[in-house]
Amino acid sequence: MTKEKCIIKLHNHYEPSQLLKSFFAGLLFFTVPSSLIGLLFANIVVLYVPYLIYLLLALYIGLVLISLFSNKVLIETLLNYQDKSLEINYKIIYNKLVIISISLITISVIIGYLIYLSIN
Amino acid sequence: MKLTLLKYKKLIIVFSFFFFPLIFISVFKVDYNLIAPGYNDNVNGFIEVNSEYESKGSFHTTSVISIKGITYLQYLLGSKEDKVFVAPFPEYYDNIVVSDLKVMSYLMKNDSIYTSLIVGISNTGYEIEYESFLTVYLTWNYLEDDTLEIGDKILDVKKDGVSINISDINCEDTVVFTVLRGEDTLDFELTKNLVTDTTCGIGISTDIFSTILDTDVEYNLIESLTSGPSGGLMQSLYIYNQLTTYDYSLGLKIGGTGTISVEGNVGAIGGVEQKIYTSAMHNIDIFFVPFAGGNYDNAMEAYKNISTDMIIVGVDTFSDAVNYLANQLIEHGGDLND
Repeated sequence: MTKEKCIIKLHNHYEPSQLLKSFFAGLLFFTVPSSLIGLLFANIVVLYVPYLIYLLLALYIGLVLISLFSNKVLIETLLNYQDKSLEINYKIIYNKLVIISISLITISVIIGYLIYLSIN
Repeated sequence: MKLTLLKYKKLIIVFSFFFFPLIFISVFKVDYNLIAPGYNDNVNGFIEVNSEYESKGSFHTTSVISIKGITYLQYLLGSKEDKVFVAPFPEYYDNIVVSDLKVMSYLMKNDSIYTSLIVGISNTGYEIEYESFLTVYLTWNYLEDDTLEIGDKILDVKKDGVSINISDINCEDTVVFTVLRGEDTLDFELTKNLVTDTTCGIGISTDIFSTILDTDVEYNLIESLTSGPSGGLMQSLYIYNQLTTYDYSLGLKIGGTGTISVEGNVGAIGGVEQKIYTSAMHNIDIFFVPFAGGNYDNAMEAYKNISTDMIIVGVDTFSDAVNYLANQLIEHGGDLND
């Protein structure tokens, strides 16, 4: 089964509302802890500006770990709606979601760091 | 989704136990100020001087992180951290708009850059024409409304039609301020009223603001987010070094702090301890500190707490710093008579 087929099947076998609910479950499990991490980072970074790069690395690792967990939650929510007859490789979907979310986090952190460098 | 939330019920409960208190202490503000180690900025990053001379080393200003009004979490962490200074709001904050301090700080930064150019250029023999005005840097809450504003250049102060100095205004005197605001010249009649049982005030803090009218030297100023006047000395040294044959940088990372006046006097600054920590972290080789205001003594106290090869040099004037570097240049085999 190719990745593309897998996604097509997902669209064919789930109601849009089920996909949306699964997405929001994952988003909720990402947004809440990452907002806390972001807030803590913003509070702490001003005290340790010379160590900014290490704090940024810690923030990045934290966000990546949260994204791994939130994508797992998204898949688990999808599985709750699962029709047992479906032949969907959820592992592939999970991997794809992880790659997308880690890419987005990486880009955001790099852009944030570049903005910081440009204003200093 | 409901099933998912139920599955992670325990995790959500445990997480909430930490989440809400942490959010609260990260958002809730306390009336404290914080000063923490910050940056060492290469002066050539925000002042460019056209010059044929090359410098092997670099000159750095040192800035600290200064926050007025911190969160409870920052208060807790800052209080435990040796290199961070946390202090309650000073009493005078009751009589000002605290955000005006930021405006004042940027005004001071601009003045320090122009003054550095004046000092650096005039000491190298190049022509420079400039003007200095007594300027309103801060207004106090008891200043009469719709009168003076931050940035107003004071052209004249008259009492009974006679020009006087601000320091000569007595309690309950009424005087007329003539100020330049942008292109407009404005007059304001103000009275020095009783502020407390023992002190009188008009409600302004003033200092000199200098601007350059004309000079032989081509320079370019680049906007930066740092504020405050503490870069004055290092900016002056950088400009001076760019315009002289000798490389006073000695191929080293030279840092320092201290305000500069057009006469070349180096003034005291705040947060000197944090500036020492910052510079040591950034491998500065020589660090100039003003003797004024006990800055040198405080710097040496902080210096004792760190392990560094950085050399601390106390100065009173711009010439003191140049002479120190000139002596180092000679000691390293250079000849100032070349």
